[in-house]
Amino acid sequence: MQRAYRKAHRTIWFVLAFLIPIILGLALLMRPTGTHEEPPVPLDAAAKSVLEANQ
Amino acid sequence: MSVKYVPVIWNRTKFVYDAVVLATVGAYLGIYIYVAPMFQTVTRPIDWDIYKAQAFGTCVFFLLTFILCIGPMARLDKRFLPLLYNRRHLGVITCVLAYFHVDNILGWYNAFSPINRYVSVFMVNTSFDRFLGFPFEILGVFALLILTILAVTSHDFWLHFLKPTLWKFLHMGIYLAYALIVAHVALGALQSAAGPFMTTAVGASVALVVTLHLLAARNEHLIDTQQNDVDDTGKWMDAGDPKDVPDKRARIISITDDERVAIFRNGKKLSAISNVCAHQNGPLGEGKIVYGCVTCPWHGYQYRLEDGKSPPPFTEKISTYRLKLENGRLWLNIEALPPGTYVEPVVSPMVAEGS
Repeated sequence: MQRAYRKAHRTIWFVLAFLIPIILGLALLMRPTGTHEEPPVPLDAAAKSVLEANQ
Repeated sequence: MSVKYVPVIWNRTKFVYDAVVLATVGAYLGIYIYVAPMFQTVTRPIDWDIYKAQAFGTCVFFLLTFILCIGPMARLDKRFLPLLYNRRHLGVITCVLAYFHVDNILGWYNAFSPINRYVSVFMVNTSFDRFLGFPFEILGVFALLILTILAVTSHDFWLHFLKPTLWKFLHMGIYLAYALIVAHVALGALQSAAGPFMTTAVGASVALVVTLHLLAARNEHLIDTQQNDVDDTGKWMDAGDPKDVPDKRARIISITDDERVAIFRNGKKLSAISNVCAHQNGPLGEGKIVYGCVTCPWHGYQYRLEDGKSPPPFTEKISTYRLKLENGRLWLNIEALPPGTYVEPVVSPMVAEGS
């Protein structure tokens, strides 16, 4: 039974070794460009002073 | 026929293990939620609920990566064995953190749904025919379901009730959970990730987990396929020079299509027992002799060398095997004796104690 368990274990990982990188790779490669959530914009000095004045 | 409930036996090692894990998790969450935002000067800070959901979600992912690395690391290098001792507690903590992640996500994205927020998870996106845009939330739900089943059945009660073999097969579900979580993250969070950090972290996790498992699988395959000479009767297998068996430790021999045998040496005495621990099928041959008993490297279950029985009050027992010494070579009878059968140890005058 132990050998069967080890074989099952090996088989699962041989499958996952292909499957997981393929899913991850495809998801990243097919990721749409230009439609991402707008990244946070760092404050410049003028905006910072306005923000501080308002606070 | 029934299985007696046995409470978790706490000891100092378990307390220390859990304390370290909880402190690490607490520090990670604390830094992510409370410290990191202080260093952001942005016009549109991330909402508090999203921040918490991210903190719990990434913590679950990193913990799961760590849990999956412990097994192969312990097989490749014995110094990682202490990490394996209380791995189940890590799994339960991961499951609890996953529920916090879900609670924060539902409290933000699904809170204002006209239907029940739990139902809305299954209803808001039904694009099952698409790859990008696939309802990645469902993948997370299935992963959470698996984590919950594994956490609930992690107690030794279920191990005894289901028996180690079935329990181990059930708990291989963690691999499916990991694959689902990678897909959940790849089709969800990574699609809108602004920086390279999460993408790099997920890629590194996958590379690490897969590489370690393949390396460990290769090592196990080499042991399984090792060839030893068998005598004319077909019952005795050449187990090598007794001097090759390190004192207080074992040499593992692969005998049939199923089990492995561990030949232990205690000073000048040699004994052979099954390599499979009765508790969780741990590799006894990778353990050592402590206080005269073979000690499983996984959870410390002990067996006497001469009869394969756990010392009282414990009742576990494993198969023993006969050994003989001929012309300076050690020979192993490949027929397993019934668990708990006494076998007189073979004394080898050629080996020096402590060598």
